[in-house]
Amino acid sequence: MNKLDNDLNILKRRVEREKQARQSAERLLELKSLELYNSNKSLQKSNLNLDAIVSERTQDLKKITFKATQTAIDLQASLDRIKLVINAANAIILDWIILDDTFTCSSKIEIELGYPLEFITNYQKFLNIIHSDERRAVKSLVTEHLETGESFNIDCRLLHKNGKYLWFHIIGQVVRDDNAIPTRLVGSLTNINSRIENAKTIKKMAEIDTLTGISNRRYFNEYIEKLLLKHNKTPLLFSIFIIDLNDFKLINDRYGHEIGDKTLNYISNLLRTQISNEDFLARLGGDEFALIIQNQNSLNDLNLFCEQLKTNADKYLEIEGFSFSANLSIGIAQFPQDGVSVERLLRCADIAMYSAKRLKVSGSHFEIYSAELERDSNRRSHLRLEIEAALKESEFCLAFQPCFDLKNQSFESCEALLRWPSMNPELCIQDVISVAEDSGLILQIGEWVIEEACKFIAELSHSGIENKVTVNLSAIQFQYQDIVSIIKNAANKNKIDPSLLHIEVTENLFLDNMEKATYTLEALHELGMEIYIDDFGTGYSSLKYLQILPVDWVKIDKTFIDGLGKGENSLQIVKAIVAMSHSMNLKVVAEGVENIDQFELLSQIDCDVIQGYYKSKPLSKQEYINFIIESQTEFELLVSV
Amino acid sequence: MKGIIFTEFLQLVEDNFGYDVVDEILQKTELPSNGVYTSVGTYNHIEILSLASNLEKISGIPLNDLLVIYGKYLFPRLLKLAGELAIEYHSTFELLESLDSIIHVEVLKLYPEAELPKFLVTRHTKTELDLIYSSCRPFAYLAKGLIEGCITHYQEDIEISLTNRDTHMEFNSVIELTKR
Repeated sequence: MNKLDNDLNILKRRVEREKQARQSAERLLELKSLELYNSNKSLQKSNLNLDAIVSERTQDLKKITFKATQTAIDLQASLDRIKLVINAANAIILDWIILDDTFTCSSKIEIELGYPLEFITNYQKFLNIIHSDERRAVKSLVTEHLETGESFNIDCRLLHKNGKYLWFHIIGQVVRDDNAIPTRLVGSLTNINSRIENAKTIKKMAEIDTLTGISNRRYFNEYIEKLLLKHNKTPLLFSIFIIDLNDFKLINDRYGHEIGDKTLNYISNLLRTQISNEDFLARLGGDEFALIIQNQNSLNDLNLFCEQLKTNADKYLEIEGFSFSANLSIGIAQFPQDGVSVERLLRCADIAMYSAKRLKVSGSHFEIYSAELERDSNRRSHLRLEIEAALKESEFCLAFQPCFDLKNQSFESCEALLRWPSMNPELCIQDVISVAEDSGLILQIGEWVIEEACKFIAELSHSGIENKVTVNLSAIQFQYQDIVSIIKNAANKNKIDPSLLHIEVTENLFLDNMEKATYTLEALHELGMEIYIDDFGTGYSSLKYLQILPVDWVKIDKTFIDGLGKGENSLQIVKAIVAMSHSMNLKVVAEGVENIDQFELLSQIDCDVIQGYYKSKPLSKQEYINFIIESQTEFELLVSV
Repeated sequence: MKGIIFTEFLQLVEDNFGYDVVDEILQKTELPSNGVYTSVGTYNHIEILSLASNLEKISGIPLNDLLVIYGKYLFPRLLKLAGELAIEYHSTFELLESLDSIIHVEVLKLYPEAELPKFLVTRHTKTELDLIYSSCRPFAYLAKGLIEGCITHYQEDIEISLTNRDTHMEFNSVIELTKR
């Protein structure tokens, strides 16, 4: 019974527990249902809120998406533009990511250098295509740019796939991270090969004389400067030649500029054939050439070289049917003995050249610079200044040397001679005339002489003397002045008959410009003036001139007269000149007659007129007038007796 | 502590000792819940210790052994309830290694108020694994039982030992597992 009761109690307790548990579970279920309901409500509310937020966010997102799409379109357009610019630009764009050493180039590299895009993949491969002469410079510039930000900008040669190097201009700019560490280098390679090649051609063209194809003055200066710099390292000897074509202006005037140009080419070729590869030839301009010779520096060498040059230059040349000689005046200076600067050497060569040029009438000449030449040059420069001053101060005057007519036994003419009373006693008047001719002052002097001679003729006339006065005219005057007008004007001004004025010229006149000289002399002749060939026998003494030109008189040079009575030679020459002149209807004057023997001989051989100290020295105006009056009186007395 | 721990414990006692013993331990133990448990309720963990303690007295089986037995019994029951949680694991070690980082995280989503023990799992070799149990509740042996249940589930041969390192601050034990 107890057991049964006990079991019953247990069961009752169990049922009670289960009941309580069920109730507890039901309560919990209700509680959880309520919680669930509340949660549901709250969730619904949250859902609504969420919907609103979602809707709002969706709108925002749409806006952002639209904006992003727009930005992407803009970006794409911008990228397309950049791509177009990169493709259109004459440049290869390069991009080096430093951190992982990846190197990329734009597709232009295929066109410009012939490499596929994947050819240059790292920095070293890029360096490999740079010419070895510039590689180190590029490398150090890149390093410097990365370290200091110093501009990266250089010209260098890059190897084309075909094996040729082309010039490129490289620029680059480093990109750094927030810690200023270089992360990449962006830049461009611009092909400047044509520009560089053109610049080389232009430089070459700038160095060449277009007419002759030899170097020009500019390159000559550059060359000689370099040569002098070289001398600082290795002592060397060289000679500078300044070569001037004599009377180039006359060649141009006479034959035209085309022939003139051809003559310059001829000279250029002539010089070129005379020199070796180490020598340097340039045309400095006009008719002036320069030569630098390095392997012939002894005086003997130079003399031989110049003689050879002279011989070749003096040969007659034929250009388009014209035959003439192109004579050269050559001045030589030697380095280092004459000077060590360009200026000094050129000056020395110039001095020597001008000295040689004074002898141009007899063909090509050369002079090697010496201190004596420079002193002479300085003297001449100084004298030139003195002549100018003398002209200003009217220090010149004329002296008149009476000329005795052997047939008429009377003084019928005189030669007007230039005098400079205050002249340095170490000089002679020929020195003055030489300098005046070189400097062109002869034109002023010559004009003054004509004026003075005409004035003197007028004075003689006033004194009842009708004597002819001969004046000497320089070839320079014929070349540069209108002699006919000058004489006409002077004659008119002084109211004299121009036929009383006679003209003395030397043979040089015809050498310079035969046609012009002929034309002028004919015009003077028409004015009634008589023409004398002075110093006959010393120059070319060409009979051709005597035949063609309107010459009336031949004046035998004093050197032949000096020889009279001392041997047969001079007498024979003088006799021949007289006979020849007479046969050509020319009259003869013998100048420098100083003694009775000469006088007698000349009388015997039928000379027409004599002039010299034997009869009278040159006289001042008044002395001359007195002399003539006196001699006329004497003659009248003699005739009356 | 979730009610299922209590209901399953009482079910174990009933299955093995009969409802008489269930009634006896419920009667003998002073329980704030009066021994009325529903699996969905929440009760003080002390109650289960008191119940186990009284069962020890009645059965003569030491408390720790009782907790191990209960753990081993409980594992398949829990697995049945939350099978999808463990479905992707294929061994005891795998499951234990994801205990703290995955399983407990999921449990907390279902029961936000749950106070879960910490498991620090260290795999030394392919065959050796340590699990440090730390909690404010003395259920290391229950954990050991659960692991044994797991081993049985995966049909593995793993030796398991427990070393107690309790401090006055917390309950702490090292459970060492060695595959044989």
